[in-house]
Amino acid sequence: MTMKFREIKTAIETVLSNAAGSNYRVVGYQTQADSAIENLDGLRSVQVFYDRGEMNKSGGSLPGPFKHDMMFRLELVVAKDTKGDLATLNSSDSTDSQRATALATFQKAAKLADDALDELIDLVFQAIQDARRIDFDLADPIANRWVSDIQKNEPSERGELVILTASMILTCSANEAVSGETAQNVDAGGTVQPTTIDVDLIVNDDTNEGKAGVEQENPAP
Amino acid sequence: MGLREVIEADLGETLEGDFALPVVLIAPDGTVDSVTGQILYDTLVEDPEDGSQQIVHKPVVTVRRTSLARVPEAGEDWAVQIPTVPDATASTVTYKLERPSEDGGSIGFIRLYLMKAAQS
Repeated sequence: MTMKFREIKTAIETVLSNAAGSNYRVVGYQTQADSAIENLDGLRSVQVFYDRGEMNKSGGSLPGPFKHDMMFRLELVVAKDTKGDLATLNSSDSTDSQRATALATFQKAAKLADDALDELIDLVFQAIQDARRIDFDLADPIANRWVSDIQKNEPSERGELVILTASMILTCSANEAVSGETAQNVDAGGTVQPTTIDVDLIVNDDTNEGKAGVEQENPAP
Repeated sequence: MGLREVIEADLGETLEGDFALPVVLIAPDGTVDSVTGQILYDTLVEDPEDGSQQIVHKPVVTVRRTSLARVPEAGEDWAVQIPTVPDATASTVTYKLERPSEDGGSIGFIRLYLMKAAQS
């Protein structure tokens, strides 16, 4: 049996993946950061982390269930380059005034990244807070599901691109249970051995001893 | 000849010598200026989050100021065309000028930091 927060994390990733289309991608845990080019345009990414949990003692009892108030952090990343009329700049047939107009109408990467991140926040919020997925399509109920905080960070240059990140905090509650399963019996070589139970079994020779309705010979007085 | 003049004259060899690459600057008024200069395609930067050293693809062009018809200034819209690889005969790619750096101005050169550009 796995803890509920792990099921919920996977369910959040599934909900986001189903809603992603070609707008963004959902990535799992990574040991190192993406390069900026991996988050360019439609490759912008959403990453889901279990951030922290709280189990109030007053919300449960020792045999369980354990009420788990959990917090998930969704990391959103976009990267953008500048966009403009490159064809005019590259053409040898262009006049000075045409090139000047092309240069003046270039869109700045930071502005494009900001717009793309706003759109990504919108898409993720719509997917997460959709009332049709109130339990993230899980069988057990999830309470108090709420996006409580959205934080946009400062744009930073990563090489020839501008990268912009945001984090979204999602809180919810669910009941955890402890199964009481025993640990596996592993020998010194790492092989799992079947669990053995040693029981002393006592079998009396006289199968009628102690049973009701059996005649017994009374000893002579 | 003073020391600054000697250093500036040396730029004809260090920036515009055998290892120079062609650089085309497109000014805000659309005029085109073809010069040669030194191009560093990759830059070593420090990740502000964890302090690690990273190599990022970010071309930096260094050109001699006296070779320019007009010197780029901060806030202006310029485009810069350079070879895609460090080979003067390679095809070219057009970047948007992110910012010029005048920190070498006193001895005669200027650095141009470039931003990737895409067709809108």
